[in-house]
Amino acid sequence: MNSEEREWIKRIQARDRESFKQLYDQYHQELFNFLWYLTNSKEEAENLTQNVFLNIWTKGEKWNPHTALRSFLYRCCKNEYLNFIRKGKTNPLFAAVEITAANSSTNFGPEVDNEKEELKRSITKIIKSMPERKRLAFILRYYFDMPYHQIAEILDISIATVNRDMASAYRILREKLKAFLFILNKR
Amino acid sequence: MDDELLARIFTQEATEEEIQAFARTKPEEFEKLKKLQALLDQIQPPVAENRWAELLQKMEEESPSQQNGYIKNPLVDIRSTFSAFQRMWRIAAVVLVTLASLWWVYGNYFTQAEVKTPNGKHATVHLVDGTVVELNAASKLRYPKKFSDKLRKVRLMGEAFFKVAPGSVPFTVETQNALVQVLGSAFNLRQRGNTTTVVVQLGKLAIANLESVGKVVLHSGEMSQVVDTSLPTPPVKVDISKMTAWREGKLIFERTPLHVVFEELTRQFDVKFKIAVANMTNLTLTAKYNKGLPVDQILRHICANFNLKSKKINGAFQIDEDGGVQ
Repeated sequence: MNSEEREWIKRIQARDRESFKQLYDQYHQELFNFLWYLTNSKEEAENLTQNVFLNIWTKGEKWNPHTALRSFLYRCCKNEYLNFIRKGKTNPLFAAVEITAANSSTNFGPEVDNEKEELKRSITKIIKSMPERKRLAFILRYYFDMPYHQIAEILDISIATVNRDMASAYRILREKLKAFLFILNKR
Repeated sequence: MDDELLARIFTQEATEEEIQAFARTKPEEFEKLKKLQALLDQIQPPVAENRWAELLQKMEEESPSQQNGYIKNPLVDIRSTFSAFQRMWRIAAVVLVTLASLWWVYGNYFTQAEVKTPNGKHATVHLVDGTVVELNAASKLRYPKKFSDKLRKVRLMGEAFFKVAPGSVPFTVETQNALVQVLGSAFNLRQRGNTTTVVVQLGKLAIANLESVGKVVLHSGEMSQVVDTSLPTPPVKVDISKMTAWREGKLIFERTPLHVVFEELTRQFDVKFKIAVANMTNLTLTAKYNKGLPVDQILRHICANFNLKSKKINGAFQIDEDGGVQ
């Protein structure tokens, strides 16, 4: 963590609204993106993003990032998401399926043709079908370009585990997306 | 081939040597891997709504100064008045920021004012007559501190969207090579090098070259272009939303030459490119990127499409041909 970041965090801990607004402006879209990949729902992702920021504000001095700010914010999102899954439905797997079904049609703009939307929905579903930790690791690496050590930090696992998770995430995707690779070939 | 290496190549964590070795020994597998990436790249998040106002409200509710027991403390009273004052100030600040450029204009002694946007930044300028100008990145607007009663004239370099306040005095925009005259309309004006392109969203305007020759009248949804000193092209109907997508932070390319795409990325993201690709003139891109998408991801998508590879060296993206497969 650099000194500038530490100063910034101090001001947020002291509930300086301007500094907090800065944090919101800089990170809300990015954290929303992350939560969107996790929930596949614009509405849920927006609500969870709000919660993450509100928690930081409420905690004040007790909010004390011990890692780089960006990693820490992602950790907050991860925890918020896991809480949401736990609280929402007794069976997280079941919840995951429902969320996909309920929101997949509203996720993409109306201009996208049906075939493409169908394809996207299927891919989303397949990503969603991965075990949670693997999926999180995969999303962080693939869509957010996080290096393995940072993923390890965010998910509280070792780098070796990230390595293994990524390998099995890739294996799952390759197997399940086989049919779609063929579709892409035809175009 | 072990899975961990494959996964690392897939998620672009592997070293250059590993990737090249893999592409050489298993070209088919490598091709599949790229297609898989292209599939996954289609999943892109929408733009998040800015819900700061709502958050602020909740923050107020959570604020400890509102809890029972504290209220009687006079110190806290002062604090809460202060925060109410702060709240008001913050609302005012939002308005002030938009008006900042205007204020700046009044503050200086020159008759001409100028607003310039760097790469990666947009700006909104409110002119004295009520006209609103949204400046795209890497653009410059020069305008008089006060309009005369005969002429409203501004000068644009780059790209901007104008919402001209209606008035009896014509509003004129001058670019490097063209003149656009309106009586009140909304339009997008783009100057790139020696080409000026205008599309009308609402109302009516006239465009001519700098010598005011060959005036062409455009209506809503029509486009015309002036190249260098040529006469403006006849009006053509276009999809205006595509031309003004930049206002929402979206990037839309339609058969856009790749070098133009990179120029646009430089403007919008303030990134540098070193391009070492022969025959790039034949490559065109058709794609749509939503707001909030990181430039790395856009680049990955472009590279996957054209068999290129990008690498960040000293803060600039080096774009090379991907020699491994073809």
